[in-house]
Amino acid sequence: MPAFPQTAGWGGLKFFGRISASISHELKNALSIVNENAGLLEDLALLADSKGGLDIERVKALSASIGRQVKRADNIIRNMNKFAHTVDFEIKTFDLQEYLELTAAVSARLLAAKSMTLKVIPAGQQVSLTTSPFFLLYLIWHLLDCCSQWPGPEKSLDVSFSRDGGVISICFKGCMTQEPGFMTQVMDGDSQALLTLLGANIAPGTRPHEMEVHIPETPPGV
Amino acid sequence: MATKVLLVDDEEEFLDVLGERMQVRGMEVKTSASALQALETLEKESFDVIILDLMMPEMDGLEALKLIKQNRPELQVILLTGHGTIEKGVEAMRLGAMDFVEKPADLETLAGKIEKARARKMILVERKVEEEIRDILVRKSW
Repeated sequence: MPAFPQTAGWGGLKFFGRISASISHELKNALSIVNENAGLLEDLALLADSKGGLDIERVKALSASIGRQVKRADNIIRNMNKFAHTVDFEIKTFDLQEYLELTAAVSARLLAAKSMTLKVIPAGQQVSLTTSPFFLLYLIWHLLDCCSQWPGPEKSLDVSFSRDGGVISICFKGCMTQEPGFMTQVMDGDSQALLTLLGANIAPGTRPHEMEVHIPETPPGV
Repeated sequence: MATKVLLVDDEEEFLDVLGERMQVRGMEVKTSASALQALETLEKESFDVIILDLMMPEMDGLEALKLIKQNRPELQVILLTGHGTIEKGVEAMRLGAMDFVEKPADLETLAGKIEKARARKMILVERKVEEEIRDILVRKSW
């Protein structure tokens, strides 16, 4: 694998920081709801003392809400943990769908800010890939960021993937790929360094509003 | 008269529960699940204080704050956020926010800030009325 340029290393760190900040924001939202539910339970207890009765259905609803938020926070932390471990190995063999879903989960807020939704379409068979999980996530996140700034009319993005021979294709459908500025933005920043590192290339898709990334099943030089 | 508060956040469960707790404390509360919806509500109704989440889809809290202050400078806005960075806080204050509160917020602290905001709005409204009366007196010069 070629040595990664210093600039992309700094960009990678910035990517790691942005995802961590977004995750902390999501956790704070879940904690805020738990906090308000706990506060309301306390209010209800005080009211019960003065009025001599407690609305059991209300208490059950608040308890259910706390349960939902704990589950939500647990999922966020699980994704955060998986994301943090993407830097454990320079190269790793992994299930692509699992990592695409992880990228979708950690990018959900970025896309929601632009009112976009994202769906990962299963391939129907397991597609494994040997590469740098962190830098692949960084590349996909960068492409999602570009797509969010050039949304298609549906404001929804489908990410599908397939294997043909030794090449994996990841298709992004639902952004204005034909707009002149789109590809310039796609190739901006660390893209070239990431593509070189992963031995990948980016091409317009076969249909409108599509873009494809082609990545070798095993990286160059391995 | 009860303090009239508009609570704006894209987390609907948060809106429901915080809204209920504020009502228990004697405030009159309306909620909006987006900044755009809040701006529409502000066209039709008047409020003492707006509690605005910083990060929301479509339009974030800072953008909404700018528009609110452009149209209704007397309205008092308290920003509520999960992102507790100093830069965002400074930016919010520069744009005219009265205060900046980090989530999860302590309701008693928030209620204190709401009362301060209401008092400030009343002073601004009184000043505006005084200026208008002075202006009328000068123009008519009876």
